[in-house]
Amino acid sequence: MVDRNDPDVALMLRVKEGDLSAYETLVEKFKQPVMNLVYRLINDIDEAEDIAQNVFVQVWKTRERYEPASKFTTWLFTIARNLGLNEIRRRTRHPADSLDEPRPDNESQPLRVVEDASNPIPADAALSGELRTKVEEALMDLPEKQRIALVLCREGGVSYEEIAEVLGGISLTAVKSIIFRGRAVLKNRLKPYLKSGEWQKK
Amino acid sequence: MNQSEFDNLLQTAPERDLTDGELARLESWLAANPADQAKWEVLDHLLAALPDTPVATNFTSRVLDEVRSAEASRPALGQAWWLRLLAPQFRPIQITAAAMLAMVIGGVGYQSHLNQSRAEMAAAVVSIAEFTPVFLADIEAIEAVAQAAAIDEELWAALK
Repeated sequence: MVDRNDPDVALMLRVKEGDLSAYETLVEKFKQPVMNLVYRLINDIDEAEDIAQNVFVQVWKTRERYEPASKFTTWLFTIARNLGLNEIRRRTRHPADSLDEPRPDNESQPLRVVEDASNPIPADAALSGELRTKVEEALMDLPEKQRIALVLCREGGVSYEEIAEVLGGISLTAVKSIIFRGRAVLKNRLKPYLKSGEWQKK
Repeated sequence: MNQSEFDNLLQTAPERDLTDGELARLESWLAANPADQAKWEVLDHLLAALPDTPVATNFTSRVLDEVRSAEASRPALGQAWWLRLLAPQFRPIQITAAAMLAMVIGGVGYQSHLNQSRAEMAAAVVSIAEFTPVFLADIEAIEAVAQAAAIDEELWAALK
């Protein structure tokens, strides 16, 4: 059982009571990590956004069942992973279908309004466009579990224990193995593109 | 573990899960070899340097719209549990319950109809039973007349 005074848990407990302003704060705080995870899981920006929104809708709908047994993010990322995997399975069964159909409930809002260039996406200037593309490609080619584990590692603040729970309650050893294997694949794939002299010597 | 073992592990890791022993040796190798650890961490830096996925500026408002719309179609949380069952998401349960209620009402009605028919039939039997002795006596007299011997024509003519 985690500390009920943990800020995220406290926020979610307010959401559990039906506090819509707490819910809005929660969505604002976690929309980015959820989008990062879902997008890197399904590799489609529009569908990723639909799924990420659905993740938060699920959080609201199931809020009464929330118990602070683990960190809030563990619960949130587990929902995100499950919905992402459902979408991958759905695509496998119906490859031609798309989630882009307009939904009647939200006709008053445009489907997607992306920030313009005056509010740029934060990116590391040191990572060249080509290298960034190669890293993204290599990441997308990883098996789902390795990809989820590495993306969650990337988010920071997500422990191996949390990753183990998000991946369906696997052991800590299994998580370490998954992460090591994912890194090893990335290392092999990216070797030619890395400008770090140490790597090119290998 | 030595350098060659470490390199071999890097080559074979993509193909299979690592054992507890291999992971333990790997961790101690990296802890003892900052150069390899640093090379390993380059990957973490690369991943961390990936840009965040762009999020639509209306993301939160769309989520809130959807939640409000879902809330509008569902009874308030303070309501009794049985009132919440009237919400549209419980439509299959409502249909099943209505069908079961109809079956129960139908069954009770039919049973009541049967009971009433039986009572009426019993009453009819009782009244017939009371009437039967007189009725049977008349029947016996009629039958006796019907079964009487043919008229003696000569006796009948003499009587006339």
